[in-house]
Amino acid sequence: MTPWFERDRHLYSKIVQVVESQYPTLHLSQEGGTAYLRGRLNITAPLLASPVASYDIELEFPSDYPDADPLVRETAGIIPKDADHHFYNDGSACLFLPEARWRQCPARPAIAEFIEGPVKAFFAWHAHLALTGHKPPSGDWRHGIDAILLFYFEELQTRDVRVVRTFLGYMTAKKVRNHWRCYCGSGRPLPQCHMAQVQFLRARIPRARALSFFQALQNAFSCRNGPRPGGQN
Amino acid sequence: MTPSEYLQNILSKQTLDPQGDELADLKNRQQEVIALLNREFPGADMTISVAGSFAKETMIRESYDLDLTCYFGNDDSSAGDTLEDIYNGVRKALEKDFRVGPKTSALRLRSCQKDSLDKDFHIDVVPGRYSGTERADVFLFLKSRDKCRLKTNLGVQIQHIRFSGCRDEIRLMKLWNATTGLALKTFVLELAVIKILKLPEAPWGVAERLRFALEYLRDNADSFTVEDPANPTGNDLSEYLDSQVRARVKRVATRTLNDVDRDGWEGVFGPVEEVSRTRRAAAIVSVVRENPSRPWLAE
Repeated sequence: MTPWFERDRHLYSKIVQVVESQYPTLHLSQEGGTAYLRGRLNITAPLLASPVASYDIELEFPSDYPDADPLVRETAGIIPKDADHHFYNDGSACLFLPEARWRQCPARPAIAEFIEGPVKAFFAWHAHLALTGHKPPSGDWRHGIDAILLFYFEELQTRDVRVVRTFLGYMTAKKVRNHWRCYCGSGRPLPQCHMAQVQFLRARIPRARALSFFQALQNAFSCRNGPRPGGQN
Repeated sequence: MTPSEYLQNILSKQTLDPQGDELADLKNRQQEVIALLNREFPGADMTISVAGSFAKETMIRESYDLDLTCYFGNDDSSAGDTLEDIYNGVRKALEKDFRVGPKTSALRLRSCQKDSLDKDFHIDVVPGRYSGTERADVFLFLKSRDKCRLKTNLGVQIQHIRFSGCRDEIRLMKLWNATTGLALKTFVLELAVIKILKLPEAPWGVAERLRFALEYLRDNADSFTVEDPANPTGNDLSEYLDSQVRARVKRVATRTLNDVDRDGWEGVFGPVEEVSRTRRAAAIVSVVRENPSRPWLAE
């Protein structure tokens, strides 16, 4: 299969340009059909002439880039590579909860958006932990699927799983209907209540992603409560 | 402050305190490794020595490690019969207490403890076997290379660098290599600096010599070569200088020289004054406030 940087030479040369002009300590290379961006990432702060922290990093561009994000690794062994530090077993970092990525960068971000957004934020998070001894106020998500439910709790300002389930039904529907009652339980039609919230998150979270969590939640719910009469969950 | 004075200050800042925690940690860890190897290979004809930047006296705080060579006698097979067996035997032994990352001829030690998993201990163990009874030349196993063994002589390498008369320039170039993310193989960089500064037209003075080395790398990035003094014809270092690396060297050297012209050496190595941990901690608080992250992990 032709590597993405040969399929899309324009995109690659754009990345080369951005890296050379904005990231003098990061360097692009190609090895065996894979592109890497390696070097030193400096976390800078206003009024400090030298970086607050520096990390040696590697970004591995996947074969389906830019549809998928680069894998990010810390290569100098400064940060422990475990779940508590948000690293997978293969050494790659989990920068964000996919549902919440829009808070940090758009889908298919330009390389500078990706580095300036989630990558720098992730390493600044670690620098905070290393320098102060505690996690930043933004905290971190719980591991696994629990975090996704928490994300919807936060976004919908509820603690009610049923509200989330209804909301996910609207998120994953092919089309949102005006006659639907609002997910929040107010009894009002959606357009007169939280339609904006539905549209906001529908525009930011891929339907497949929402659907996958919806199904997981349905399964968990039916396991906990047993089947409902008439086959309805 | 003259450029040379500034660079001397940077060198002092990069010198690890002989009584400090970093070196103490390194030495304690070194003792652990030696004890482990002695335990795993009792009675073996094995010589463990300190090598790398520590022995060459080119260590810098920014990026330091300790190389420990673990050479077996020519007719000793405690760790294995072949070079590959020795490499794997030592690896297996080290894996009892460490997470071991294989490198071309060395084994990188990282933590296997739960609370510091994969933390780098800055120690490389280099297994090998003496080529003869005089215990000078050694054969090293080369992982993932066409040629699977390398003949070398660590003593010759160390002497070549330690007594080159270029240790300051080497240390500054290593700092440049680390802070610019260039990641040129250290041994290659050391040999390049020595070769360049041995040229008859090389000037005097640290700043002038550093500039000369960078200009040489910029102007000869496509063609410069280095040779292992311990095995000039047999140890092919050209694979560390492929076209991508050469292009990177040229680009970074050019940019560095532009920075020096514009801002002096401070534009390359930053201010001499150390920013205190407290000040950096205060600064990072404002950075995370501006750019919050909330990492996750899929199970």
